[in-house]
Amino acid sequence: MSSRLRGLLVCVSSCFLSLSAMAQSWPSQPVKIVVPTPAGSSVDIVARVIGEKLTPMLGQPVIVENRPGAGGTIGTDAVAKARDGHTLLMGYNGPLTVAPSLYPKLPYDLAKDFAPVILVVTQPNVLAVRSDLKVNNIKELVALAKAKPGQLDYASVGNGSLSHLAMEMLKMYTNTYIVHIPFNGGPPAAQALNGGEVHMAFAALSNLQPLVKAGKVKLIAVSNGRRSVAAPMVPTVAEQGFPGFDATTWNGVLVPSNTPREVILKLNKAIGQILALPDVQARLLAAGAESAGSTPEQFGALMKSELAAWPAVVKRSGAKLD
Amino acid sequence: MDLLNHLALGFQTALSLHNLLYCFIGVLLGTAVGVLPGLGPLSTIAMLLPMTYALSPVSALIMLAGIYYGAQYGGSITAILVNMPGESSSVVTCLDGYQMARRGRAGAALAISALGSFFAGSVATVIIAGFAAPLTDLATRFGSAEYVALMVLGLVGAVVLAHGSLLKALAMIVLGLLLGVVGTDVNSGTARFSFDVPELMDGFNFVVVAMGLFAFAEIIRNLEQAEAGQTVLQKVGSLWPTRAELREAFPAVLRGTCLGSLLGVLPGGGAVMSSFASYSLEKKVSRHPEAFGKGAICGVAGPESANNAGAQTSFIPMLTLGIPPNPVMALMVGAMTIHSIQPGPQVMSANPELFWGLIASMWVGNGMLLVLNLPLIGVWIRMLSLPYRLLYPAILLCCVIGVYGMQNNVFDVMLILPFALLGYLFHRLGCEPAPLLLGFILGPMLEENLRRALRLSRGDPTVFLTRPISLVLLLIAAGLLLAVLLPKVRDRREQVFVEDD
Repeated sequence: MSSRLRGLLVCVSSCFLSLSAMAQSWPSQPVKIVVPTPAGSSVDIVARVIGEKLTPMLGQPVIVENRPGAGGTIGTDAVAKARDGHTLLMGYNGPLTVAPSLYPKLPYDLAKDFAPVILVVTQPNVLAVRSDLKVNNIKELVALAKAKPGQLDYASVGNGSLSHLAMEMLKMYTNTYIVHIPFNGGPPAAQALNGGEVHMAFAALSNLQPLVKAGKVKLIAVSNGRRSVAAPMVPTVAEQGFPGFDATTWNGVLVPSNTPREVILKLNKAIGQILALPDVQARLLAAGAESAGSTPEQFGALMKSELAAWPAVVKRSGAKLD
Repeated sequence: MDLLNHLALGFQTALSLHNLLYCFIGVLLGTAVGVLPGLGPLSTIAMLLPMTYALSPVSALIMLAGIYYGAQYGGSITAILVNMPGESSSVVTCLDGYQMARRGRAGAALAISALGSFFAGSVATVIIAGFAAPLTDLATRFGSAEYVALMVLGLVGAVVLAHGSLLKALAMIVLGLLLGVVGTDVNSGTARFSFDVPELMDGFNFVVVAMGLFAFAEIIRNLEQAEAGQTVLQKVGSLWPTRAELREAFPAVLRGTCLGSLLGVLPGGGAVMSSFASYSLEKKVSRHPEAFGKGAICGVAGPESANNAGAQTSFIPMLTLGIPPNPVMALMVGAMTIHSIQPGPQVMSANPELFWGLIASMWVGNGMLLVLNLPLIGVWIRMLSLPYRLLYPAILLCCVIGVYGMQNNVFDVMLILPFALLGYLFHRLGCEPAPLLLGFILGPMLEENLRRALRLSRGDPTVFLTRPISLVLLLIAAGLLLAVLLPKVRDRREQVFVEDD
């Protein structure tokens, strides 16, 4: 063996050793999960449930830090620039896969600055209509919207939110015109639907569930690719004649792209185990989230496909922010 | 009779030793976070939420609710003592509460705010128990158009807030409206006046503006005047309100309670508006409007009762509809669902011990707050006798920690500075910051709802006049405006203004 080759081998193996040693010793200090939304938001609750279980598994305190603002981009950017090796992001679609088509300049680049760890939860977005609206499925809704173009209103939880984009995507698929009325969050949108100000709303199931139980609204479709665990009787949009329709809200853990592969795998394994715990699943479900789990690659592929899909919808909806 | 049975069930639940303990922990924590600026009930409840998984749902909700209304009370302590409004609802308390403290009546102000809050809390408890359903109906009728009318009424009322010249008050309201424009517009999603600073995309944070204009500006003022080592208090005075003060305050408490109970039911700005509305009302009906802004006890009693009543009746839409009117309530909904209780109209029948237990616990909790806080008044007052050179750095530190803690963002801390300088400038120019803050709070809500209402009506402005609630509110606003502009009243205003100088 030439000395050069041996040198290379030593170098590679020592690199490998130091990496695995690093994964063993990681974390050497408290781990921070940055949540880019305010305390008490659904992303925050998910992060706190995971963080609490992660603490004994990692042997270091896991702290949840809220860095809300600017549609989640402030907290997301903070993680992109974190260099302590112990900062995680509990990310969601908005700042990661939707924002690049909304904002002309973002301080971070999903592909360059982040490495995916695991898809943590998905949240069902449901299309709810007022119970006095004579519509029971997408087909009837489309018929009504075509009969009364521009006369129906829908509430979203915000401009550029997934609830807005899901409806715009549906309008694009069905070639209908329904007027967008943005609200500031799920509860006001639910209130507007309850008070009869709007005809329908795309919003998180947890916001609308009480109104369904009270008989004020009916759910006609789920925006996700598959049916929701919490409302299994509601068919997806895709099932109702629009194959490929998928607008899923998700939360997932990401780390800065310079994080060693071993650390990513260690985190993926630990969080995957947490997501399999029945009490965790119950607590997440109570917060309106359904535990998911994935490999880093699957999560990365999901984000990549969304990055490709949203620009067309955003462009058509005119939701560009600048 | 049903009501009595229900309340009996509620008290049976709330008075169990276990629940009493959690209620006590809740109000104690609530008072503490209310006293500390920035650290509000929202972040406290969010942090404590995971710990409540182990509790029974009733105990968990009782404790969390205690934090919420305890904080309402705690916020008024710093407002009165050091002019530092920790919560938007305690801004109004600063106006006359702090002036009372400067005149050596801090004890009376604290006592009246505790007693008023207790009274309001007790009434609101009965209102939730007896009138939850019709009040929910009222809240449901409030659409965008009605909110617009309510905001217009609030802004017209803001003119009454100031006790200086009408022109200056108007200028301050308009400046408040302009400051409220900064940030992302809900309707179009466009960022305005953010100058590409991401932190400005959500607008100015209310606590930052209030800290700068009130607490920080006040410190600059005091340092300018006070000799080294001087204390805020020249004299401590009696710790208790006099009989005359109590007699004067009682009708104000009653009016504040009614106003707060009604406005609290409205999702969004209801609870915040109630304290402003109550202050305006008190000043309007008072025989001595010139005393307002200089330590009028009604200016403390009314708004304090109103914000406490409002904080409690804001549980109504959450309990009856499952729609949380504010972020704190959204967390309470989360706490319920974690225990597999679906908030909504069926809670009352499916979990009566939870529903009535929670309501009864509010009354119990308010009683505890009273017992807890009345003896503490003496301690709080003694804090004021500290030399100012020791007191003011402590206040500054508290403010800075609190503001940083809200979003873990240094930018917010930096932002206090311009507002502090602005607040000092206003003081020198004889302008009052309270109307500015009201404009700042109401402006964005007014704009959002105005544009939404017009979008829903497809651009038809008559929508504000064809909906009855909206029409009535606008007529009241017009009446109030007329009263302000009528020459006779204006003469009186100017007379008042002269007396002020």
